[in-house]
Amino acid sequence: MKDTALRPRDLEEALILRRETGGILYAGGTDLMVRSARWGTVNADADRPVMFIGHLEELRQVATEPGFLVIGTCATLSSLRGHPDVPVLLKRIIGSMASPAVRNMATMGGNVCNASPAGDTIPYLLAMNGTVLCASTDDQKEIPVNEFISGPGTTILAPDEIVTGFRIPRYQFDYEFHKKVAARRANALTKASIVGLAQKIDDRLVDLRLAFGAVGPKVVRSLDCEQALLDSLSGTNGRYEREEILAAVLRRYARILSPIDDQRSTADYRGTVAIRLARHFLKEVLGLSYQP
Amino acid sequence: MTVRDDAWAKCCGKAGYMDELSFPGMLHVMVVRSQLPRAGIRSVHVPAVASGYYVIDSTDIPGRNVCAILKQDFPLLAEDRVSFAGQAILLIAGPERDRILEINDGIRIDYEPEEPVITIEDAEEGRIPPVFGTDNVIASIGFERGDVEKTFIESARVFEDEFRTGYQEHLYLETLRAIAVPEEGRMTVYGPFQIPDIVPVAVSIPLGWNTDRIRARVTTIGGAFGGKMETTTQITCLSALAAYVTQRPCSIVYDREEDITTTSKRHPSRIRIKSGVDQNKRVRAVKMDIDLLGGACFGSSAVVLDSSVKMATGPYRFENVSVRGRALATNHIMPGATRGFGVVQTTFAIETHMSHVARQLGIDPLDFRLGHVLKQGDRTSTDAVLRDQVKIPEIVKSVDAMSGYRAKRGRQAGSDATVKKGIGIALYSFGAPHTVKGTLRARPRPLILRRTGSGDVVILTTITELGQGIVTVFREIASRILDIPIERISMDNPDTDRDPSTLGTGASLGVTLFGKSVERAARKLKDRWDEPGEIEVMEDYVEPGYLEWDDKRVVGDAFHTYSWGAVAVEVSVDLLTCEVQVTGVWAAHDIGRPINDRLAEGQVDGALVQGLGFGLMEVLESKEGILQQSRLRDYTIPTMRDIPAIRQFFVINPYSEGPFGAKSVGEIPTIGAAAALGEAVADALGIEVGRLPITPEYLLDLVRAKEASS
Amino acid sequence: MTIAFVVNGRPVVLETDPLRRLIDVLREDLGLTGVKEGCGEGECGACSVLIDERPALACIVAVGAVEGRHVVTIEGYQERDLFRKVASAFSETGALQCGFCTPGMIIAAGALIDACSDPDEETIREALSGNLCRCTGYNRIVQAVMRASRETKEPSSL
Repeated sequence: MKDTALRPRDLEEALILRRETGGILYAGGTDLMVRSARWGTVNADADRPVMFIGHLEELRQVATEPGFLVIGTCATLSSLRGHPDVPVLLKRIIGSMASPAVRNMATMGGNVCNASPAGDTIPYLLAMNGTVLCASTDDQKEIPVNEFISGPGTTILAPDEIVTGFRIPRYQFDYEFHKKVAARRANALTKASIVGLAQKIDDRLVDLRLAFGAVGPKVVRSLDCEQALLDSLSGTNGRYEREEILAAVLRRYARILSPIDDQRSTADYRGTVAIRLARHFLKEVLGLSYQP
Repeated sequence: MTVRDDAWAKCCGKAGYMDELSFPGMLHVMVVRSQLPRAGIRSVHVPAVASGYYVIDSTDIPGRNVCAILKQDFPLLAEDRVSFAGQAILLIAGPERDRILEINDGIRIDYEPEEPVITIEDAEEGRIPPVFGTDNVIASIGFERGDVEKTFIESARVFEDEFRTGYQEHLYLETLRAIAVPEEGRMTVYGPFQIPDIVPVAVSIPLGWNTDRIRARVTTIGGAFGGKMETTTQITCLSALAAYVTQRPCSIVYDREEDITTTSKRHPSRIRIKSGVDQNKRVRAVKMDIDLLGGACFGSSAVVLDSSVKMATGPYRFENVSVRGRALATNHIMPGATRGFGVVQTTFAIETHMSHVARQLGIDPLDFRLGHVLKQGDRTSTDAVLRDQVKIPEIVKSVDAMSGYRAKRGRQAGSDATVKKGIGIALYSFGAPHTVKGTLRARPRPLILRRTGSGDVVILTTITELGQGIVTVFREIASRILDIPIERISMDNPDTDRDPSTLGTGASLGVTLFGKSVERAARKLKDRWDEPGEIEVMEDYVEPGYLEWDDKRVVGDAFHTYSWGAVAVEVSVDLLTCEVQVTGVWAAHDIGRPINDRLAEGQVDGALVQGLGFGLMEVLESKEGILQQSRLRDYTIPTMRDIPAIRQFFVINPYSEGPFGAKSVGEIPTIGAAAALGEAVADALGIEVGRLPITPEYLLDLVRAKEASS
Repeated sequence: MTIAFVVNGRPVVLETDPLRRLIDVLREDLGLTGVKEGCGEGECGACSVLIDERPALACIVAVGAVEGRHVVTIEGYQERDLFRKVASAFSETGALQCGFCTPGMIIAAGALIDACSDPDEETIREALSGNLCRCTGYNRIVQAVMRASRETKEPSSL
């Protein structure tokens, strides 16, 4: 039972209160409340106060900068889905998350800071080279998302910092692929997911990115694998050669995925399906016809 | 068509549910439960508690420490040992929830863990000391007609399959709850009781009171599906015990996790089928071994098994049949009554087996099955003569016309190279009501129609409204006979002080059996209508005189009559992920002649989706005796996006003994959905399914095995 | 701490733990028992309310987070013309059985009709996908929402 909570008027006050108290940040509350609920009571943390920040207008904005989109940490998933500047791929991903009522409350900041390997916006941010904007009273940082997330459920956010938003390069890829695998078609937690992006110049692959959700302690992206694939393609490879290159890179990916068994799926299924989805995407990118 | 009288109140959320009920000075009660599936209890340490708070253990029980279901073989609160994870050990009662939690956190229970019996194989092997009796066999029942083994020897081909099905949680939206209110020398218990009549008996045992000191009042029930029958006895007895000890009204509300992990479920099963086929490609003999995974005590497994065995061979006629069923004890919660009552599992098995055999013989699976379907005048597996028309051919024709089954089967292209489509059909039947003639279960089950002085009619009965619309149907029957507007007929939630013991709602017998009592009572009331003042007519149920039943030999009319159905299910399977999406559902049923089409169709829609959820996604697994999918985010039932529009049809086939020709509808539409789904997946992928639910994880294994072998 | 917000059009000022679940405050302190609890973790939609006119789940909102905001429960919603149309459609279509999901379902359906005057089946199934129903198989709920949306386009007979 807590008699009080913090409710700053603006971001400046929020940062001061955060520095003074290390208060637990409550944006949309959809993860925090579930995690803290017990038999009809809620106990977040006995030692730290809760600080509501979901109402702070500075944190709810979606803004464009030259070459970048900046999404406020407290922008609700619904507001992003309806926003004209939000890319279609991100909207599609958001449409696969939770349910409409939850999306009215849940925020992108919450999804990232919850740091679940199954968090649905994280593979997108990672594939897009998105960054996390962190602020304290005397500093501002911009951190790549997979440095920000340090492990399952943990981040490097300092006790005096608040995530203010996400900075995402505005870039349209020739190939954009997303698949969320879950127990049902709505309101479901991810068993495995993938975001694939690829860019070609004159039929030559120049940029390739793959991010995998829920197949390791953190969302997985391998720059080495991506670069290896780009390097091994000369642009004049024959079909058989491309098949060989594809198989080699998938073997590399299979080695770096480390899925687990839990109440939602099996390690075997997660790992197998992640590779099957990657193969499907890469076959399309490499102009190889589909075979399951 | 009549609009149900509770509709508006339900839209407003004010229909008299438990969660609208509160009493001055009411205490919350938390149940402290075993964390282990099997253990001795060495010691229980309880911290000092503040005034106004109570920790209650088995020594506080004034009567016998018994939670009575069908037998009185299980303690209400554990004494020196626990037999499943979630078994009740202590109660904590008090006014504030957070203080109760603090007390809970201070309780230390020292266990002596023992190896639990987890699987059907554990239970039958006998390596681990038994949970129940000497051999873990809670119940066994079986019969043989003809000579199965001899026919196998004579058969041209013999086929064998093994099927497995998992738990299914009822998932009524309103979790279980009970409030007990001590009154002068009496106890009133409130709850969503499907079977109110069993409540005073159950509560009387731990209190050590006569049953007439206990009054059960039923609140508006937020869904049940069999999960608020025997399962309500434990929570009600616990609340009554707390009220007895504290002398205050005591409320127990299970949260969703507690409800999923500690209350009954559909029984998991292992079903083995062997069939012998002659030169003409006809099945001459079928042997079925049905094993249901039970809990740590008798529970209601025997009753569920009874239906599994009697309906095992589905809508088919085989000259030689042997069915053996066992319910085996394990260190788990007690599974129990669940819509479809043991027949969902057996129908999945027999339907899938028949299709499998057909494919092996190179015959169309539907034609093969239709060639074995029971007809009027045939004898069922329990040797009952089918007196009424069996309209399976018309039912199948209707489903085929709606779905295009025959045109689509085996030749559907997917939307692209990564999707395959398939369609499957299941045929099924469900017997109801159970014949009780000549068994111990035969006893009076009356209901009353009362005409008040003002000319209104009140139906007094312990039959309960679960949402299915029984109140509307009873009112409609009475209205038609009495020829008065339905608005002048009412039926309230049961109160055991006020109402005659009609039994309650379950086993699909409300309309057929007790609706007929309403009809007869209404006719008698109509004859006396001109009498002045208040008139009461009491009417007991009647079993048709022609029924013959031998309980010991399992021979005769196991059921008064049968409802019949078929459902076609169409799926798209994602070849990359093995995810299955249901894209079409078409069903037709013979439920006699429905009293109220809209309500009957509502039963069919809901039951089909419940059956599809069971077949498709409702994973509930035990890991070393602990249920893994304990919350709603992990135990997934279909959402609106997982299910397409459903089309359905009733083939009219009036039943002479039912009210206005009606037969039962509550359970039958649950029966075949998972079987049809399995057939659809088999059609899409060219594989044979042997397990429910058909998860993508399971399908991936089957697909890889197929890829490896080709 | 003191929390001030508006419930069903009426200002409410409460002295309470700001982390209490909104559902408990609505049900226990304000007696609004039409808000149902089906899961306690935002998975079933039975506790759907409107917060600033958008569907939200009262079981996963802390009351401190609704400071200054407008909350509408089924008790307030039933004063609206749209409720009457949706509830009539639910009743007459047979879109409810046990009824425990119904208030939440109606709030979600009404919000959809407000946002989209002529939703097709897919839109309805998406908009109501967070509201679980175990009784109806959803078939008649979809029909009821279509019927209600048609009726809202026609001039009110009231």
